Amino acid sequence: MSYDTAITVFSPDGHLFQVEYAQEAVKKGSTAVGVRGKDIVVLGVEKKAVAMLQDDRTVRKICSLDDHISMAFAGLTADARVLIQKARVECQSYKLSVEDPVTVEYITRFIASLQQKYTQGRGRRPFGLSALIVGFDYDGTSHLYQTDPSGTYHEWKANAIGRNANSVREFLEKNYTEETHNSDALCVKLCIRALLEVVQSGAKNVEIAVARRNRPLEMLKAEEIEAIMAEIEKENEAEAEKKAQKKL
Amino acid sequence: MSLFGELQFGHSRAVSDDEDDEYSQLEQDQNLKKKIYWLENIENKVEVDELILADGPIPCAFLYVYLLNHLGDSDKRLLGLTATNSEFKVYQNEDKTDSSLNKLRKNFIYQVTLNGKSYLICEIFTQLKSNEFYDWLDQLWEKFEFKSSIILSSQNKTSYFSSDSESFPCVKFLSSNKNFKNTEIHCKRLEEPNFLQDLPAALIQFCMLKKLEFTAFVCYSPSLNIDIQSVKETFNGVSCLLKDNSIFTDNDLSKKTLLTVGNLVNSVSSLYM
Repeated sequence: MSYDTAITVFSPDGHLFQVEYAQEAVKKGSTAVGVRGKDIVVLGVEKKAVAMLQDDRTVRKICSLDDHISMAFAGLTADARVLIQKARVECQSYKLSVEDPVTVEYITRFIASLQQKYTQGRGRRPFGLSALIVGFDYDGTSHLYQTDPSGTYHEWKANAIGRNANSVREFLEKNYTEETHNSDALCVKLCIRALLEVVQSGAKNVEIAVARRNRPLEMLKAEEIEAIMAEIEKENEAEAEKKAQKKL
Repeated sequence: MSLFGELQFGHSRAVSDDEDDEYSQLEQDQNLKKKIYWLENIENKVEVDELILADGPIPCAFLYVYLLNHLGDSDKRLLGLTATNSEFKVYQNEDKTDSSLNKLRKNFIYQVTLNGKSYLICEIFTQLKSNEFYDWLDQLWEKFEFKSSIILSSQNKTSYFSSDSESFPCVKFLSSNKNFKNTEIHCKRLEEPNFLQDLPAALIQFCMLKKLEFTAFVCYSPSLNIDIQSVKETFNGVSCLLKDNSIFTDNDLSKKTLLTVGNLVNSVSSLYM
């Protein structure tokens, strides 16, 4: 019996193959990185090459779910569009009913529950995407959550999804410090440095979004990203020189 | 109608149209079969010191990033490619000033001279079918004689069996050289019940029959496509084991090329973002 053609069937060793295949679909999407600081949350994504005649406004990996919550995803574009739409409606519906904006955890749980539902329904396949959801609650605390096709979600200080996510996560584990957490500039720099581990250098290859308390999501301009990349390049050269001198 | 009531087709000594279909099916199968197309006329069998086979996208990317991209035109000679009939016709007609990165997908065969030794490098980006292995090896052996071989392959981490937990990607090796007393972290011996399959297994069998030395590396990767970490891990494993005999280079050029390769061959469709 083939256990991978119907998502509602467990294999003898406990696998849900369709969910695992959906996780493979996430790895086909380009890299997205999230870094959380005390007063800032940064989302960085690898920019997809756009065809010459295509309007790049329709090719967006980072989007807002509400004024205070944003999301980046990796995986199937169409599935992401559907999930984002449902999440946006839920944000407004909650605000109308409760008269308070949603918390980051609430909307993450909503998205994750929806993803989980599609791993148990008849004739439906899982959503082939992972999401990084960032924002600030009304008490001012910053949050970064990650969901995956199985419907699980976790909070992170820094994380990566998509292609080469393992390389980026290893880099974040080595370089995320208490100092990074307390500094806005260091959070942005860490996000860009993490992306540069797997993406060619150049502002045209990355997109950086910064979320701050009580402010709308801000997309960094190309010149600002280039300036930070130049700084990182100088720091790398200085470190390489130091290592070379130590060897001598 | 037979005694039991079913209809039976009449027999005829005329040549039926079905036979033409059978021949055209055979011809179609031949056209779809991959074989080596030599770009140079090699009359006498050439001796090389080592055969390096890269089977799959990750090993091919590894060879490109850490070896082929560092060589000038004088150090490597393009001898042939492994392709179907139609793929070879497309190659013959296309613009030969095609970018270096697109060559990664073409299953090329090179002869390389490095550090006084000659190598035969075979890239198999799109893997061969089981009915193609031995013909391919025979075609290769007909033109080239090699004394030893390095076999690079990759498999998904789900095909790795072990009672110990392992972090992926990881590289394991299998060698006819029993002197590798390996205690290094980066490259452990491939233990049972794990096994190599497809063309790498066929080449190992070939080497054993011809009594040639071989060292086979398999990279267990969490990704089915080219993953930068898997390519790096393959480099760590291979150069750890080969040490002073390693011809692979890790420098700034390798790091830059690794990023471009990872982005090129992975999906560029609008299905994924």
